[in-house]
This record gives sequence, C-alpha cells and structure tokens, in this order.
Amino acid sequence: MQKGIAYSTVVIIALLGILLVSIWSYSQLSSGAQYSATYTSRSNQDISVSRLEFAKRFLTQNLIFSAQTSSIDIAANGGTQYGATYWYCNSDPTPPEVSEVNYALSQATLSSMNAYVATVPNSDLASMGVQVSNYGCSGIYDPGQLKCMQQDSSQCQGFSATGTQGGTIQITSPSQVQYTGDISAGATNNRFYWIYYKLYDDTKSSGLLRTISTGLRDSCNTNTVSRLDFALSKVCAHYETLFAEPDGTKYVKCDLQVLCNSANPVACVNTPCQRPKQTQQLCWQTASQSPLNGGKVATDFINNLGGTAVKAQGAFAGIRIKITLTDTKFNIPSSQGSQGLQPLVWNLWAEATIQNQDCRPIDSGSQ
Amino acid sequence: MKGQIFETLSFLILAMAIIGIIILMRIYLIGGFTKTFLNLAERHTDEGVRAGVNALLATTEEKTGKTQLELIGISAFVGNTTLNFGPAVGNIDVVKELTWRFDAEFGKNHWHINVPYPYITPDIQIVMVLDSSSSMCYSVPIISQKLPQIVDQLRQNGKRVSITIYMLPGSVKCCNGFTLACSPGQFPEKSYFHCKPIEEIQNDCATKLPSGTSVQTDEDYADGLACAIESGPAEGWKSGSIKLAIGSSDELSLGSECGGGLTCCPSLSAYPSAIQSGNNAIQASIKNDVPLYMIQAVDYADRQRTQCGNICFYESENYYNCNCNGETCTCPLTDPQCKCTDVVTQFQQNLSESTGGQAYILNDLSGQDIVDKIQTIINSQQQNRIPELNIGAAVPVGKNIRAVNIPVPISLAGMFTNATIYEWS
Repeated sequence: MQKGIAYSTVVIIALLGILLVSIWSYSQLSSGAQYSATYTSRSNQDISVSRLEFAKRFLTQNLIFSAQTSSIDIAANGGTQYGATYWYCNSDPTPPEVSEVNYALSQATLSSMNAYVATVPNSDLASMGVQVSNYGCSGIYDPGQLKCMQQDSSQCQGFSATGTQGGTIQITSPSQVQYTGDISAGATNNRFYWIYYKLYDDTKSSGLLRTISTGLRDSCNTNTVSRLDFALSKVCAHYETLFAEPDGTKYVKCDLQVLCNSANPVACVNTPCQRPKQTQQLCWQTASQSPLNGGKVATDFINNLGGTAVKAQGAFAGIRIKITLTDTKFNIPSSQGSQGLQPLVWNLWAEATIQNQDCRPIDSGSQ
Repeated sequence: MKGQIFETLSFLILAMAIIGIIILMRIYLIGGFTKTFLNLAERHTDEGVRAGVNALLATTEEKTGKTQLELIGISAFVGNTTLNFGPAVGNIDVVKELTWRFDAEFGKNHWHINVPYPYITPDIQIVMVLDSSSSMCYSVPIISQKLPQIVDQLRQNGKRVSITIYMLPGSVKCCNGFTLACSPGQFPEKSYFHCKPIEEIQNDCATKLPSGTSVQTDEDYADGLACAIESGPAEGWKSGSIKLAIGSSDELSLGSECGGGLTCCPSLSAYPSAIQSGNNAIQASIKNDVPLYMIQAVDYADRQRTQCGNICFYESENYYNCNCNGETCTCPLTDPQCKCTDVVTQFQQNLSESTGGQAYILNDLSGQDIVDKIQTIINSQQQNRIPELNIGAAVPVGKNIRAVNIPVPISLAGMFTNATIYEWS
C-alpha cells in the first residue's frame, strides 16, 4: 500500500515537473513569437515608410518637371497666363509685375503637377499601396531682384517650387502610413527670373523706346517707314547687349517680328493691349525673396538720350512688334513639342506711338 | 499491485501525451518563427535593394544638378541617352552616369536596368520653298488651297506637323486672281502654318551659307532651300524633331533658260549656275540633316503630259512669244518649261537622292495629287529614337535575382514609365 502511494507520488511529482518545464518553455516560445510579431509589425511600417519616400521622390520629380515646363509656357506668353503679354501698351511701359508672373507660374505648375498626380493610380505606385490626393497650391520662390539684377546670372539660374494644400500621400499596404506635409523642389539651370527682372527694369526705363529713338536719330532718310525700319533694326542689339555675360558672351538671341509698322501713328495701336488687373491672391506666403524695385519710369525718356540734336517733334509713326528672346545658355526639360530639351524663350509684345527725332547732323549721311 | 501498475501506466501515457503536445507546439511555433524570420530577412533584403536604388537615383549629376531619376525621365522623353543641356553644360551621357554609380553600389556585372521609353509623337517641321515665277500660276494656287487643309488634317490625326513656306521674290499677279506672294488671304497664318517672303531671312542665311550668296531670283529655289534650311522655320529648328525641306518649281533653279535663249536644256551640264545653286542646297541639307523633297510643278494642260499649257498673268509690258494686251499676258509654257522637263526632273532627283529625300512629279492640277504627294512625304518620316534604356550585364539564369520596379516620371506632363532594376550577388 505504501509502495503504491510512493509510486503515485513520484509519478505525480514527475508530471508536475514536466508541466512546469513545459509551461516555462511555452512562455519562452510565446515571448519569442511576440518579439517576432513586433519585428513583423515594425518591418511593415519600415516598408511603408520606404514606399512613402518613394512616392515623395516621384512627386518631387513631377514638381520639378512641372515647374520647368511652366516656365517655358509662361515665358512664351510674355510672363502672364494670358496669350500675348504687352510690355508696352499705348507707349506706356506695362511689364507684368512679379506677383502676376509668380501667379501665372504657380497656376501652370499646379495644373501640370495635378496631371502627374492623376497618373498615380495607373502606375506601379498604386500596386505598392500608394494613394495621392491633388495639390491645391503650388508656391513659387524666385531668387529675388537683388540676385537677378546682376550682370552675371550665376546667382539667379533657378527657382524653387512647392506643392502644398493637399497632396496627401497615403500608403495602405503593408501598413498604414500617411504624409500630409508639403513637397519642395528646385528648377535648376533655368534663367527665367534673371531675364524677367532685367527685362522688367529695362522696360520700366523704356529701354525699347529709347533704342528706337536713338535709331531714328541715326537715320536721316526722308521716308518715315524706312527710318523706322532702320531704328527697329537696332532693337535686337539692345536686348542682346542687355543680357550679355560679363565676358561678352551673348547667350540670349533676339528676333524681332514687326506686326505693324505704319507712318500713321495710330494705325498700329488698335489692338487691345491692356491686361485684366491682377486680383487673385497668391496661395502661398512669400511672393519673392526681395521686394521688387522697378526701374525709374522714364516718362520723358528723350531727356536721357544726351546730345544736343535730340528733340521730340510729335508722333509720326506707330508700331506693334513682337520680340523673341531665346536663352541658349541652358536647354530646359519641357513638355513642349517632342524635343524634350529646349532653350527658354521669352516673348514680349509692344505697341507704341513713336515720337519723331531729328537726325544727328554729323551722321546725316548714314542710313 | 495490478491497480498500481495501471495507475502508473496511465500517468505515464498522460505524461507522454502532454509532452507530445508540447513538442508539437514547439515545432509549430519554432517553424513559424523561422518562417517569419526568413520572410523578414527576405523583405529586408528586397527593401535594402530598393532603398539602395532609390538613393542612387536621388544622386545628382555634377554639371546639371539633376538627379539620375530626372535624367532618365528626360532621356525617356527625348528618346536618346545623350542629353544636350546647352553650351553652358554640354552633353550628359545618361548611360555613363548610371553605370559608374550602379557598379559602385552593386558591383560590376551584378545589375541590369531596363526602362522602356514611351512612344512620343514627334514634331515634324517642314520648310517649303516655292518658285514664284509666272509659270507657277498653275501650281501655287493649288498648294495654297490644299496645303493648309493637309496640315490641319494631319494634325487632327495626331501628327504634330508645322510648316513654314518661304516664297521666293516676285509677287507675280496671276489672271486667276492669285498673287504669288504670302498674304493672309492666300496662306492663313496659324501657330503651325506660316508663309514668309524669303527676303526676311536672306541676310541671316547669307552669313551662314559658305557661298555667302543668298537667293538671287524668283526661280532660285535651290539657294532658297539652302537659305531656309540654314535659317530654319518660323519657330526655329527644334532638337529631336523630324526636319525636312520641300521645294517646288517647274524649272531648274535660276530658270531653265540658258545661253541667252529661252530653250537650252541639252543636259544639266549646260547650267553651271543651277549646279552651283543645287550644291549649296545639298551642302546645307547634309550639314543640318534636313533631307530635300522636291515636287516638280505642272506645266502641262492635260494628264497625259502631251500638251503644254498656257499661263496668264498681269503684265503691262510685252513678253516674247506671249500674247500681251498691255494689261495681261498669256504665254505658252512650251519654252523653256515643257521642253526642259526631263532636265528639271534629273536636277530635282539629284537634289533629293543626294540628301535622303525623294523627288515627285506633279501629274495634274486636281489638287488630290499634291495632297497625296505631301501626305506621302510626311507619312514616310520615321522618328529616330531609341525604344528603351537597357544597360548593365545580362540577367543571369539560375541565380537569386532581386528585381525592383520604380515609376519614373517623364518630362512630358502626366506621363511616366517604369524602370526595372535587377540585382544579384
């Protein structure tokens, strides 16, 4: 009987021992599984974060292309979102203000950016669980007038663009991650603002009209249109010199298209050249890194010409011209055409009544 | 005793069963853990490759400041791996830039990149030079009527065609009311359709032509073509576009008259000035890679090309062999036009064949013929672009390959392609 009890006790103790060991090992394994689950969870988050970075890079790249393409489009329009932008309207300097230019660039960039965003559901990003919502604003940050007014363009060869107010990037797989911040990118090797600021300053001091006046003084032909043709032939030299590099290299090539040229002073000023007033607010805070100080408006620019033979003798001709400035220094990636890379082309239109100038007696034989 | 033995046995069986269950659970849990661990390791390796690729594509090229991803995107649009960023930067070889970076990251011969380039509809830029002498009173009005329609139709069909007509000097007023000159009523100006008098570009191209000469007469279409090619269309030649020049005339360049007489044309060698003019066109064509296409204009009144036609134009002076009444002249096109047809054909074929173009003879004035010929020319143009970027070593068979797919934005708004990067140890 005692032997029986002893056997039972031994077995029960052994069984309890086995149970304890088993529970201990199970707990050890369970905690291993917990660690495993933690690792798996963290790993999924890491993968999602990696995919998020991928999506951000994709969108940032889209923003760069959008900003570059927009700069080509807006420069071709003359700095605004309206087709032909008159920098001289009825003889008055009317260059687009920096807020107009930035607004136009912003709108065009935003539109192009959202066109890229629309491709996300069809791209490999979608299979990676990436979803992106449209952006509501694209900010444009130019280097500022101070840097862009230098003869050397090296400090003004690009601008920054941002994507804000929207553009939520959501990663749904393998785990949920969301990014609601802005994206920012730089459009490099693009002298959009360098040309704009220099043109603005030149226009505010009536550079074009002064050049034409000088040309008229150098021409003593009796035929009005011939004199005007001669004066207009000097216009491109003025612009090419304006954009010459410090070493004299002229990367900016000018082409002049005479849309109307008449001895009748009012014959060419019948095209509406006023722009609607800029009423829309910029959707981002800073318009420019420095305030825009326009050149002195030369209402009586003839006084600045110098020389004694200069005298205004009333309106004697009218012009409507288109000036095309092609910056060949850099080729910019663009959606335009099939060429992919193209120089920046600024177009500006001018409509003016030209004042007569006495020809300089010393040059009276020149034509 | 029996009871104790049974009791002990039952405890033993119970203990073994419990131990068995525990062992099974351990095997299962350890197996699962191992599997999870392997999956994790695999995914980490994949993500490591992906992150490596991502980092590589984010690296910037020194001269342009552009990332590798941007360079691939531009290259996909351009259809070329050599990108010209202008004189201040120069050419960037995308293959070279990617190769040294991937070699450094993954090792030589341990990676491969494939990026299919999308089909991008190319710009087709055409400069056209038209003889404006009075014998063109048949053909130019047809061209004026049909060409804008052809261009509109081609554009509606997705062809990005633009055309700039350079009219040689002359401005002959034809009796049919057409003046051989550019005017909005005859050649409507559009953003992709321009007509300009060649005088507008003469000074420019005279400085570019080796001969230093520009267009001399209303029939000097070969020099006109050389000039148009050098100066380019109204919008300028675009890099990457398909470029071609079309000339149309019924005579030799500078006219088929020679030796003081109206008719000459025994052979082309009797026209040294035309040959020189033609050589100028060929040189400009080859130098700028713009093939010449010629359309020999109509002089005949019937389809069978047996009966020469007459031409009527406004002219107050008398013309030899013409019926002039002080206001208009009606002239037979026999001398030198019809009689010199074969020599003209030979001359125009020589221009085309020397430059990779094609010469056509206009058969009739129905208008459909000119439509067919210009459409044939435009439709025959092929885009010279590479279909994909394929670099690195060939993907080996039988190795553990890791592949990463990356969407690459293209510099064409709203378009992307996919880069597949393969890596192996």
